[in-house]
Amino acid sequence: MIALTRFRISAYVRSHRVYQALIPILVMMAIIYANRAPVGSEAAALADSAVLIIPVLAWSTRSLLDTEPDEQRAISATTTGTRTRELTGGLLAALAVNTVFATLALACGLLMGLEASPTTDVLFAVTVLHVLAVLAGLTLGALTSRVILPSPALSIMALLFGYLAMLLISITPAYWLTVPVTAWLKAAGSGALPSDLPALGAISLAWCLAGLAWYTWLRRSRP
Amino acid sequence: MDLSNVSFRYRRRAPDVIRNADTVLNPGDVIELTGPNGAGKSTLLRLLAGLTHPTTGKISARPKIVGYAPDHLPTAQPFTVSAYLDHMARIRGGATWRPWADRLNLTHLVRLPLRELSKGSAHKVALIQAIMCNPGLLLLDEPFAGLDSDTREALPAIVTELASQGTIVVAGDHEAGLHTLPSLRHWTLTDGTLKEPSPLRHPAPAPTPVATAPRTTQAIPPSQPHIPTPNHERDLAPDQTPDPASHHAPGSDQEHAPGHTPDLVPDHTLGLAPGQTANLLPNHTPDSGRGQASGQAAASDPATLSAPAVGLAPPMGLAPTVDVGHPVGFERPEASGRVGGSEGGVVVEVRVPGGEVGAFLARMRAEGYEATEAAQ
Repeated sequence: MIALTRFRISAYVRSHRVYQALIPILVMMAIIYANRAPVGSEAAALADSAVLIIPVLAWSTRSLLDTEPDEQRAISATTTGTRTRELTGGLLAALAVNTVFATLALACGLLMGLEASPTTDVLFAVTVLHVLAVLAGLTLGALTSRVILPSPALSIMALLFGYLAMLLISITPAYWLTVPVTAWLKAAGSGALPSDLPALGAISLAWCLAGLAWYTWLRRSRP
Repeated sequence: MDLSNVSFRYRRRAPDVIRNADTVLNPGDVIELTGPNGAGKSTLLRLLAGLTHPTTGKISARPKIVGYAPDHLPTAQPFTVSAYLDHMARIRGGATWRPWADRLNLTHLVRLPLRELSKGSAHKVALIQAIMCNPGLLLLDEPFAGLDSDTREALPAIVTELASQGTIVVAGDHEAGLHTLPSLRHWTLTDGTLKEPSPLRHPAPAPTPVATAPRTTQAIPPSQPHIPTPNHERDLAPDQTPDPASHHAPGSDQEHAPGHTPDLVPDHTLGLAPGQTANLLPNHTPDSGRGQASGQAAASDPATLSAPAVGLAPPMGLAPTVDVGHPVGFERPEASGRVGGSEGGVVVEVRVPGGEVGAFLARMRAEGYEATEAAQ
């Protein structure tokens, strides 16, 4: 499993597709933190970062999974012994890459984007938001990868509209119908992020897990 | 390894690609899987590999270690040959691939990027990643495609070696590259039905009169390298003539058993030994649309009966899956053919319905064969 994960990451990096996600993240961080966030708005600035990197992380996931040609996926499945291991190896590779990107984004914010260091509660909360962003990007990217949506046009539209749906639905009172990213921003802006985090985190985590379970189920008929 | 009534279809309402395949594979079995393009050979290999699940039925006792070599290695990957095989070896738990690279004459190319490999070299990489782990089940999809002559000669020996260690080898192969192996099992997949023809065992009476086909064409393949002919003791001996009854000819008990649907392939199969030709012509059964055949074996020069005849099957899709030591089969009841030796190549005489003669000639010539229309 670890060897397969290394193989997938190695292919992603060697193919230079990694820059398709790295460069947008760096540009985004430069724009978000062009002006340091004033004292008291650390949570809002760092929550912005967590929400905005989700589509890039989804793109990264999709790109990493699509780096492997279809026939190589079959070879990997027989090499690892089961299709489940091949599937898990791909997701682990994407998770690892997304974690690096999210850590980079968070580090940029903490080191360059704030006038004052955040409190421990805020730091913990925004770290959790970045973890949830990693999972949300992983789920959205996996569900729009080539093995699920073979058409590149449909795949890209599904990724973008999926993210838009997250933003728009989570504005409404029915925010719990998706990963409530806008609710993250509202809570961070109002200073209620630490207290609202358990509820928002549980909803977000549940949707990510449901999405990954759906991906796994879909892969049963899409080897 | 056991296949119990395995059927597979791609979509819920789609027709079955494979229907009720039921067979057993024992350690050391080497199986050559043939069939027309689109018959489902690769699908069956993927089922055997566990890459897809049967729609109905069950595949059990699959060996734990499976090697799978697809018909083409995806070379659009950012690795050199050695980096790629190193990764595959690590995933296999530390298998060694360099000795296999030596045997397949690939060592001098291991520093090249995958995308710079020729088709044959890429195929060698696919073979190496499949066999380096000493698999219990080795699945090869068109293993001889694009290989150079040295590797074509080496591969049957490698397969034999693995089989002697208990590996089950299944090769979907249009080129009959494993036909030199003495204990080869032959599967045919046609119209979703998997068949394993039994070799003929009984002496037969005089040849059965054959039906008259509308027109005759004669195709002479260009000169081809000779493929060594094996000694197949289990196949029809030169002094034997096949028994039409053993082919379930019309009128036989099995043919008319209640509820029995005649299967095209077994009815049209005939074991062919070195030095023999087959002359098969169909007797049509209009109600079922299926044909019957009778066989006639005759002596000829074994050196000229070789693989080029097989080349007729892919371009025309109608006949003959012919090779020394292998069954002769016709995939369409209206087609028939004769294989014989001649200087400089193999003469294949094929009878086709009148309306198809033009298309037949055009296709044969496009494939590089010398094809002429013969007088009736």
